[in-house]
Amino acid sequence: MKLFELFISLAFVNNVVLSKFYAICPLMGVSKKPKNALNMGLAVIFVIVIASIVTWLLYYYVLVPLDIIYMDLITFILVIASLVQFLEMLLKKTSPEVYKAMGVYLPLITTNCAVLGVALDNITAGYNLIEAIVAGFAVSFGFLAVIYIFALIRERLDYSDVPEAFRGAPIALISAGIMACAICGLAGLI
Amino acid sequence: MIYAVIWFVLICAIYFTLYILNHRTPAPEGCEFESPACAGCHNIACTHRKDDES
Repeated sequence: MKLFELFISLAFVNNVVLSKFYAICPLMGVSKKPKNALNMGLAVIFVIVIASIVTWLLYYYVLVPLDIIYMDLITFILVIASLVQFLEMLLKKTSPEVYKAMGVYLPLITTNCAVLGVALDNITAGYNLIEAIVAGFAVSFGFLAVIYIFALIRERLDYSDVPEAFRGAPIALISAGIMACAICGLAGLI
Repeated sequence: MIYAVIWFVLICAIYFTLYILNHRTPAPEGCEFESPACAGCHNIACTHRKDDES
């Protein structure tokens, strides 16, 4: 039950994009088409879950025993970058279809601050490994849900009669703000 | 302090090794993304940016 509450809390109530404002760059950049948004979201789930496991293990089995926990930020950045390179190489060799589906979005995840944010939050919140995995999945699922819904909204906005000054990024940011207000309604659910 | 330096060098070495290995691994047929293809944002410094927009 605790894990379910953690999932609901991180995926919806404390959504990584709309309440913490992480990963705004991919939200704005890769939400022009729903298909691209879906691919990006799936790639983010893939990377965040694996990054959560790897960074948690490194923190508690390397940084803490060596008493170098002040190296956590630089370690997580390099580990996430390494992980993305490794996953890209692995997919090239083993799953061309998945590699094709993720396309250019896989290397772009290196710069997605939600990945680093989740890794750091897992440590700050003191989660155990299972909780860290659930947290990673919940956060990335929340990201997928928001970016996909946002892409559907933006697709409809393209056909809407939006005033000239608001076309493009301005109306997208206003829509994101309204979505953030809407998700505030879930506060207190958990 | 010495552990921190060794650890930093180690993770940098791992990153650069994986970076080089990844770039030497050919993409599967029909999946070549070597040319920049992303037109998502206006960041001109991004290496994935479409050429015709830079």
